[in-house]
Amino acid sequence: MVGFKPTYGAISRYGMIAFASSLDQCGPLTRDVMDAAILLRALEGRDPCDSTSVGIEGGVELPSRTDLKGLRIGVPRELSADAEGIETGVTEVFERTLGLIADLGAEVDECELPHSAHGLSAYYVLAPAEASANLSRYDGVRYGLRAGSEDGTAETALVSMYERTRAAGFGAEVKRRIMLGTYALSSGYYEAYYGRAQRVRTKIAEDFAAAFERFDYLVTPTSPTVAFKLGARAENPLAMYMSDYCTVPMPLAGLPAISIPAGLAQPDGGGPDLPVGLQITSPAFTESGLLGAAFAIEGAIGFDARPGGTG
Amino acid sequence: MALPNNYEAVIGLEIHVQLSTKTKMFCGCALSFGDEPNVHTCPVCLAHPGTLPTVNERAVRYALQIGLALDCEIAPRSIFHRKSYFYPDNPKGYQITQYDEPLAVNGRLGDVRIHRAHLEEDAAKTIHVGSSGRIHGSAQSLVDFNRGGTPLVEIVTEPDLKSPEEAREWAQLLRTTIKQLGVSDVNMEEGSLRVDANVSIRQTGASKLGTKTELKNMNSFRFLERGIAAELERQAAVLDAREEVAQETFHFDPRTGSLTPLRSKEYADDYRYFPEPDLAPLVSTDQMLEEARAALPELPANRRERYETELGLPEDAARQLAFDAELADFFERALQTADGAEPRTIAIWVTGELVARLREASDGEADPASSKVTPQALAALAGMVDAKQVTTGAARQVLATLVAEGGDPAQIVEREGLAQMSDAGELEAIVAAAIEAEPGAAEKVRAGNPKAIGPIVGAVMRETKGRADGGEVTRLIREKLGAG
Ligand SMILES: [Zn+2]
Repeated sequence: MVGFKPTYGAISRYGMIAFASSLDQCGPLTRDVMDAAILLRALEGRDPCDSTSVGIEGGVELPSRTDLKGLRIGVPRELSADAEGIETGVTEVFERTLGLIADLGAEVDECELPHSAHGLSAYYVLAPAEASANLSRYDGVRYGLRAGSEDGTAETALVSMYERTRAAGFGAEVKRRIMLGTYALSSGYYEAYYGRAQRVRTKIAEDFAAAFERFDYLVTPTSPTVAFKLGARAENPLAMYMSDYCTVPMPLAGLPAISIPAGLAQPDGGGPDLPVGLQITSPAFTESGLLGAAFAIEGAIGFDARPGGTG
Repeated sequence: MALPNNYEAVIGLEIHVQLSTKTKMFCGCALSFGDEPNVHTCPVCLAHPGTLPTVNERAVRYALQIGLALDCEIAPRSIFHRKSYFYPDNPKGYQITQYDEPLAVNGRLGDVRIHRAHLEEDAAKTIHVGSSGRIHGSAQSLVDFNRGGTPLVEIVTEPDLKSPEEAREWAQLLRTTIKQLGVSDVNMEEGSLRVDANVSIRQTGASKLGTKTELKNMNSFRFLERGIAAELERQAAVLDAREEVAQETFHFDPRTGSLTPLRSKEYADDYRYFPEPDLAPLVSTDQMLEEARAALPELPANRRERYETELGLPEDAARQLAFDAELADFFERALQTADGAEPRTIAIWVTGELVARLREASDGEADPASSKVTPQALAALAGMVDAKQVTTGAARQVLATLVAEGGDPAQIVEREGLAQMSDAGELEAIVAAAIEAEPGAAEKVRAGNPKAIGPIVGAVMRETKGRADGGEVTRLIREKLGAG
């Protein structure tokens, strides 16, 4: 599966259910990079209904690259070898892929994104904060689920209707995030949480800007671990959040990023080989170049694995 | 009842002005007043999932004009915030407003400093059935989203006002200023101008501010003055009893003229502000600023200055005219038709006699535009006074007739025989007869007591029915009695 997250502002968010408005950016999930490019071409553009949308200047070129000659590829240590909880198998697949990238003619070198290790913390303050406001509209007044209210005055009936509707309509993870976000925005805590997270966000963006002075693209594993079973981490939200470790710095900086299958590896605890992804990121609004590089790497990897036991 | 002398009042106002744009602040719905409920709504202002706000450019231009008219610094970049609270009038669960980076700051209007002026959206209207109009104790609440999303400019003053009267007068000046911009209807009864007050008192001369309370829902200038006065009195009584004023919000009930505290639950104070991620920062271009500046009409402060320096109006009349748009309009129109009349005479007659007569005739209201007196008639009357064709007393009678019936002053003078006596011989004869009729008074004047002249003047005036000029009559009497 190829997952593509365009630059913030490349595609209108109008019509999309808002979660974390400053991070939300829809993108295609496709079989391969070409399909992602074809879809992006159709999706991008400025929309007068979304004042944060600008589209991609010059549009999107369909990828055709078969080498990476003349390109400088950076490998941020913080999001690869030094990433928290990175599995051995993931590192092996990632290093093999770096070899392929060098074979394609790119110059590969290490780089630093010193603040990216704080990305996850910043993300889990900012996203729930925005979500807590975005989900306020589901109050049972105008549409959607409305749970019955307790008898009483209009005031007590109203409050109980809000409480019951939201208790019944939201799942555990959503409630958890609403509470996190509400707390982070509360008076007295705003600076310590939201304000600080915003400053981390700025630092992360500055880190990327500095790295892109030396490199055209940066590559990292998509996740510190191999793919896990659907629902396997539902009981452990922290472990679930950790799987976003390598991918949250990019949306925080508003940058485009693509994940392509890089190979299979055994999880640290043993068991059958499972997919490992490669993430490639580039400066804002350089989608055509990013897709071109991903297309070349995808070709060199030649990934054709089918899920074990079903193929 | 006035505030006892040992206390002084510290009053600041928070004003919400509904802008008269064609459409709402963040969607394309038409603005309306008094239409059937919930007809001016769309997915955006009803906060349907997936919708996003877009800023109404006209609203930004209007807000810039207000900011400039209040002599504010316009922020080169301002941003919107989300203000969160749950209430049915607030469909998104947050109001889009401006918080720590407002559009305009540090202004001044008259003697009052402006803290800030910012853009935001109005809430929908909730109607609580079967109650005092508030949710507490009501059986049913209905929501009308027509008003939801109307562009508002919120203006916050510094606490520079010192009395309820001052607060009312200043609020009227603000209303006039904004009305002249043409960016709002500024009608308090309809809610397009809403004035809340922050009120505190302290010992006279103390530098520390007392605890302030907030007063809402005073939907006329009279109620504003009355609400503040009532709250000042209440606070003075609290302090006199050696108790502390609590920080509270009060709701003014126009039917009873009383203030009732709002329960804190209705207005929870943790609004969890954060920057609105759906909107880009507002950056006013030089061109927008220039256009806003060019669109500014003559504002009350400038108008007052012009009336004093160019037209030579007395300070009081200049101020009264400049700070009351309707009155100034009437004055300007009278001025245009005036041939011969001095601006000063017109101004004095408009602000003095005309306003007094109109107030008498219509319960305190003095809008000359809706009276029977035309600007032409007023100008003509002032011209006749200037040309000494009528005396001041006779002119008052003419004006009374104009207020009651309308018409042309010259015809009224003619009909009622009010023309000033220009025949010196006739007046001299009447004066001589009056001296003869009041020998005692005449004797005293002759003996050097000028104050004794009253009864003789009175006799002349009675005889001439006010057609004679008082000054001329006095001069003649003295001449005849050798008391020149
Ligand atoms: Zn609408």
